[in-house]
Amino acid sequence: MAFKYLLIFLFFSYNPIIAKYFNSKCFTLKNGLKVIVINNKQAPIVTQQIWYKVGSSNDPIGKSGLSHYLEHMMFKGTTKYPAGKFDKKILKIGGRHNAFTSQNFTCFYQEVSKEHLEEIIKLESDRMTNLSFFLKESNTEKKVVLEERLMMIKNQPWAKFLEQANIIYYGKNHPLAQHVLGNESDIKSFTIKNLKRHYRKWYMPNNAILIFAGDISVEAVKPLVQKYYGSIPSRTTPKKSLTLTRILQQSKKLTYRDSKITHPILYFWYPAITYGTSSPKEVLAFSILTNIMFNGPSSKIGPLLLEKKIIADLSFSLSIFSRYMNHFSIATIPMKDFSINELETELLKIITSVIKKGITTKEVETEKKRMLQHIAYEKDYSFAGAHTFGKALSQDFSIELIENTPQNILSVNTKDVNNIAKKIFNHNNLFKIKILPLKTIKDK
Amino acid sequence: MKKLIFIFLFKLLIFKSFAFINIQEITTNNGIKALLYYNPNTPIISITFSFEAGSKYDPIRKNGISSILSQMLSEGAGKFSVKEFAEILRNLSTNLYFNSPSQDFIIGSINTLRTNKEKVFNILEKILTQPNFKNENFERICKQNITSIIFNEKNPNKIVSNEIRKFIFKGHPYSHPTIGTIEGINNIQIKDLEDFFRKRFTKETLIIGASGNITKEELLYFIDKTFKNIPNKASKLLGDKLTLKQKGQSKFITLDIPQSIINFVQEGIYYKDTKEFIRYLILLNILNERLSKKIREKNGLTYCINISSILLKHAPIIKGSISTKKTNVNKAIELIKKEWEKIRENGITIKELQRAKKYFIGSYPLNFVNSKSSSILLHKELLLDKSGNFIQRYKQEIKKINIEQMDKLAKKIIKPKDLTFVIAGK
Repeated sequence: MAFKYLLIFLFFSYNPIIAKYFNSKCFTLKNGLKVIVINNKQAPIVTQQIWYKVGSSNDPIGKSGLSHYLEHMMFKGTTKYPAGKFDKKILKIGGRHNAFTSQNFTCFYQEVSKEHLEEIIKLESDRMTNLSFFLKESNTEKKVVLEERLMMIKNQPWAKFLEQANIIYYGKNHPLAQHVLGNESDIKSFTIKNLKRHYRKWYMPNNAILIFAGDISVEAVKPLVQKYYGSIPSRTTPKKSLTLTRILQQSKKLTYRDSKITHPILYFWYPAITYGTSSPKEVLAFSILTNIMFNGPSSKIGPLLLEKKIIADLSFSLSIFSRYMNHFSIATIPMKDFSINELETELLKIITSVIKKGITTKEVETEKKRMLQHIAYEKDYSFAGAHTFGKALSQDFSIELIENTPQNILSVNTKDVNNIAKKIFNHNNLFKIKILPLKTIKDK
Repeated sequence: MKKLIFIFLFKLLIFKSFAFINIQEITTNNGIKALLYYNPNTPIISITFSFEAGSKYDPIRKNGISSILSQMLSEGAGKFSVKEFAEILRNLSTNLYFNSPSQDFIIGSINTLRTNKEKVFNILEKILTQPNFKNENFERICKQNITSIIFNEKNPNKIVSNEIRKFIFKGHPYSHPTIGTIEGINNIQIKDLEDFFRKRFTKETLIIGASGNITKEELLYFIDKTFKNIPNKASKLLGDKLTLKQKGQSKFITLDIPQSIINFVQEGIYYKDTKEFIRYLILLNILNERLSKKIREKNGLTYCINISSILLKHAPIIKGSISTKKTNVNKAIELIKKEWEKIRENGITIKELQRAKKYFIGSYPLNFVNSKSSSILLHKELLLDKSGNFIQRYKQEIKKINIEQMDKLAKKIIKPKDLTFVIAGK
C-alpha cells in the first residue's frame, strides 16, 4: 500500500452544512425528544440515528469505557425482543445497523428501504427504556470488548503510545483523557449494577436527539415517532460537567521507542478551536487556515512533500464539534533518507514562516470558495449530513449553527485567519510526540 | 491505507427492480461498456473505472510498477506540475485519482460537480494521452513506497496477509505484494512505466460504472471523447486458472503481539452465471452469520470475525480473519472448522434461506446512498458480468432459489479439509 496525501476533504464533507440544502425540519415531543428530518431523494432509503448525549467523557471515575460497554449491551435484548432478535429483524428487512461511541455521544443507527421505517422506529424506541441486563450476556460481551481493545490499541504499538500520550496531554482526570474503550482493569471491573445505573442516568428521551434522513417527509415521520417514542417518560436530565476551555498541559515533548516500530512517526498537537469554546467565525477561520496550511501538495506544506521530499505521508485532523477544547493533530512520516529531527526542523520552519508572513487575502478567498463549493457533496450524501446534525445537536449546539455555516464561512476575513494562526501555532503550545524504532543511527 | 479493498461484500449485490433504480447499459461506438445510474436530484457526478493493469503484470524483478504507475497518474498530466495539478482539482472541488487495490486492476475514480464535468473529463483525457512521467516525481514516489514498505514491516495484520498470500499463491504473480518490494522498486525505470501503461491501459479491459447527474447521451459523448486515443488491444492477458497451493495446511508465525491474528482461506468459485453466483453469495452470508454468532456472541472469543469472497480473476477465494488472545486460538480454529463441516454436511435451514433472501433483496437499494457508492457498485457488477445482465437477471433468480440447490452447492464448494490457516502470535 502506498502513501497518499490523506484526503482531508473527507473531514470537510462532514462539517459545513446548509440546512436548507437538506430541507431539514425539527420538532420536539412533549417528553423532550428532539427530532430532525432531512429529506433527500437520492434513493428510496432512510436512516434512523439516535444520539444519546453521553460518551466516554461521562464515564464515572474508575469505570472508563462504561459508555462504550453499554453501547455493546444495547444489542443484547429487551423483554420484547430478546438477545439476537433485534439483529434478525433488521437483517430480514435488508437493513444495516450499527452503533458507535465517542467522547461526547453514543449513536445507534439503522439504514433500510423506506417502507420499513415503522419497523426500525418500533425497535429503536423499545431499547431506549426496556433493556434487559443478563449476567451471562454481559460477561460474554465483556470478553468481546477486551478483544476489541486488544485489536484496536494493544496490537498496534503506535496506538498504544497515543493512548498514553493522550492521558499525559489532558491530565488524568480530564474528561477527554481516557480512551473511549476504557482501560483494561476498569473494563474488567464493570458490573450489571454499573450498567443499569449508567443506562438509567443517560438513556431517556430528553437526553437524546433523533434524526431521520433519506426519502422521507416530516409528515410521515411525526405520527410514527409520536406513537413509539411519545409514551416514554422523560426524567431528570443528568448534570453535565462544565465546558473546559483550557488545556492544562502546555509545551512538551514525548519520545517512545518500541521494537515493533520500524519507521518513525512525528505528531504535532496544538490546542484546537472548537464550537464549544470559540465563536463560529473563529472555528471556520481555523478550518480555512488548516486547509491552506496542510491540505496536500498545493498547500503551504507542499514544498516538504514535493521539492524537499522530506515528508512521505501526512495527515491532520480536527474535530470542531466538541463541547471541550481539544487538540489539532498533524501526523507526519519522514521519507526514508531523512531523520525525524530533520523533519521536525523543517515542519517548524514552515509553520513559523506562515505565522510571520501571514496568509494572503487571495489564499483565504480561494479557500472559502472551495469550502462553499464542497457543500454540494453534502446534498449527495444525506446520511453524512445527518451525522453532522447528530454530532452538533448531541452536544447542545443549535441547528442555526449548522444552517449558518455558509454565511459564517463568508464572514471570515484575512485578519481573522491570521489572528487564529498566531493564537494556535504558537511554539509554547506545541506538544510533540515522537514514536521511534529502538535503535537508529540518525535519530539519537 | 486509503486503498479500496476490492472485495464483494455479500451485502452489496442484489437487485430488485425498484422503480427508482433505472440502470442504463451503455456501449459506445468504440465498444466500451458502462453501467449508469442517472440521478438528476444530485449536483454530483461519480465515475469508477478500471483497466486490467494490476500488480500481477509486474515482472518479478520489477514488482511495484502497477502501484507506482497509479500514483503517478494521480499526480499530473501534460505540462502541469504536481502542485498546479492538485490546485486545479481542488478549485474544481474534484477528486480524481488512480489506485491499485488488487493484483488484477488499476482503478480510476472521479467525483466532481456536474458544473465542472467538461473540465474534469478533459483532465482525464490529458492523463491518458499525455501522462506525466517526470523523473523527479518518479523518484519521489519510489521513495514514498519504499518508506511505506519499511513502515509496515512489523505491522502484524500486514505480515499475516502477506504470508497467506505467499503461501497459497506460491509461484504465481498473485503471491507478490501489490505495492511491490524494495528490491523490485529499485529496479524500476521510467521506461518500464511507459511500457506498462501502453500495454495495459487499453479499451479491451476498460470497464466503467457511472452515477449521478449525467445523462446517457452525455456519458456516451464523454467516454468516447476521453478514451478514444488509448490502444484497443491489451498486450497478452493472463488467462490461466490457478489452483491454490498448500491446501489444508497451517502455518505459524511467531510474533510478539498480545492478540493473535488468524487468517484462513479456501478456494471460491468463478463467476459463470448469475444463478450460481447468487447462491454462492447467499451461502457465504449464512456461513458468516453462523460464525459470528458462535464465535463472538456465544463465546466472546473475538470482536470481529468475517469471511468474504475475494474475486481474483485467476483464483477466486473465500477468505476469513479473526483476532483473539493466545489462549483462545485453538478453540477459535476448532469452531471455524466445525462450522465449515456443519454447513457442508447438514446444509442450511429454510429459515436461514428465507432471511438471507430477504436481506439480499432488501439491502440492495442501500448501495445507492450516494453517487460514489453507486458508481462503485455498478463498476463491480459490470466487472463480474460483462454482458451487463447481472442486475436484470437477479430478481428472478433469487426468488427461485430453493434449499436443495443450496445444500448441493454447499457440498460442492465448502471444503473443510482444504482450509488453509496462517496464525501469528506468541
